[in-house]
Amino acid sequence: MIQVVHLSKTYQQFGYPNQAILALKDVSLEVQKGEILAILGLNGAGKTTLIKTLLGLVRPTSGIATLFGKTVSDYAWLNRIGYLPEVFRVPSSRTGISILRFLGASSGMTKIHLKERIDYCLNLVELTDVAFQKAGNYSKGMVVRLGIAQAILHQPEILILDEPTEGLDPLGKVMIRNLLLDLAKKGITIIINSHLLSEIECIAHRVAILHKGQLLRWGTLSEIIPPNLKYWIEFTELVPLPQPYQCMMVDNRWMCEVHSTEELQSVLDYLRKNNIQAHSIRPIRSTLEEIFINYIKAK
Amino acid sequence: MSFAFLKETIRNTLSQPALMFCLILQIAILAFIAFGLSFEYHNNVLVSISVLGKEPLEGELLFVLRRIIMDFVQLGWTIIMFLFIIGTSASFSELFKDPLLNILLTKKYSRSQLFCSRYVGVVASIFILQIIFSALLISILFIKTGQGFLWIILPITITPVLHFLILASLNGLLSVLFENVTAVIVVSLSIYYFNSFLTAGMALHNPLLKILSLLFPPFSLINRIFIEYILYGYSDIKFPYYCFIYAACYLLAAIILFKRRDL
Repeated sequence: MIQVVHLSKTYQQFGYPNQAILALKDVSLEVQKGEILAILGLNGAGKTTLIKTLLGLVRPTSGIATLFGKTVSDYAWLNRIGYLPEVFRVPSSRTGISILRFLGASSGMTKIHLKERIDYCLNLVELTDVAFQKAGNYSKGMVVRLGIAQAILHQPEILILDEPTEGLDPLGKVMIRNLLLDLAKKGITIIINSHLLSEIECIAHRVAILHKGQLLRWGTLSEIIPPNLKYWIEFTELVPLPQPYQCMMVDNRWMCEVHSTEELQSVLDYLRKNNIQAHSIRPIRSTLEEIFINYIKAK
Repeated sequence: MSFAFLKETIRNTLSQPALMFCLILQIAILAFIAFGLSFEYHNNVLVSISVLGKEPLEGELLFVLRRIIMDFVQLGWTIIMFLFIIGTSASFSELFKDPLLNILLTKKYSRSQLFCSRYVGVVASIFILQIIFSALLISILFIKTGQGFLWIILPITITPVLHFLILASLNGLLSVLFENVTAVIVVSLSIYYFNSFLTAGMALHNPLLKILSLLFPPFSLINRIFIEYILYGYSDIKFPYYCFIYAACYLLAAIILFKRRDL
């Protein structure tokens, strides 16, 4: 559905040939239909440039980006993509509904279809009550939700969202998360740029980590985040354990750390044999945030 | 052409503070002509015109009236063109920074369609303003003098539109070249107000200066047609078809550069 092959982009500074900015360097990745790809990276990593290259807004220096099997420059994808830019500013004097009408009309939607879709999308992002209010009175979160409504208004096959949860309250984030999962289930391919790694971890199928224009890591979430290697066994009191394991006090609890499923099994066998009860067993899983920070630090 | 975007451009252009000021100025000119000029008739013949109740003006009265109209329209024109240039320069420069543009480019429109829609929208806005102004001026003059004054439409409506056909395309080109609104405004104003100087080379024999002068549209020539029409009701100067050539060339160059530009 989306393919990026050896994509590079260098921004030339007019009059300063030695100060060219390398925004993307030899990036290759692929996204299948119905998948959610999260692009992660620090500020200036090249995330927005990658998205803009996919949308034909930025011309690549080298490499190819294809959408629906055709190169981006063919513009065969026009009107089949929903896009929410990083900065979604709306004319403050316009009402939310008039902005949707304008963008829907720009997609070539008929009046009847547009009305139906506007009602549906406003309801989905919970903006129905304020649809006739001027956008200038909207909160930051409401503007983002309006942005998401316009992105899905014309029922795109690919949805590209640049920082969609920026400025949203916790309920808004959950709403957007559920909405994206629902859209992915319906076969819509989603590319999402976000700094909120905990959110990404909940929804993304694939993750791409960019750093200074280079693709550091690319793969499915399970490939990026290694399987559980550690477990915490919690006890209500200090218990004797076989060597080399030991019970130690962590946050006012007696805990024992084991580093593999085999080790866990052997400790559990010991506990059963000696009739010692464990209070709980907790897998300690690396978070996407930890993995991301490790990759960036290692670089 | 994107009609939704065209409508949006007209709405945006007309709501620019600079153009709102133009509107106020035009209303003031109309109010002055409506209430500041007094006409005296004898047996349905205009015998006297006085301005703000002062001594009646002498000379051929219809010519005096034309002169008065020209003075006011020209005074308004100088200020209005200044404001128009500021208003429309911002309109193009904002286009490239507008996040809605990026969204619109994912819709069914190409860059050239959106650029042309913005261009047509800007020119149409000026045309709408001038048509309303001319219609009101003709109505006021008809009520006060009983004469048609339909010839006013040509200098007051068509001339500014011809100017703006060129200026809007020039602003578009300058906006693509410079990413700075102030730079666009300064260069546009310079080309407009120092036009006689910039196009003076056309009359010279030096081929290089001649070619350089040709890069700048001869606004001053269009102004001469405007003055002659108001004063005499006709002009010997040929209709300035070259306006369309200049506008088309600037627009084409702007579109080519805009298509190559990273947004």
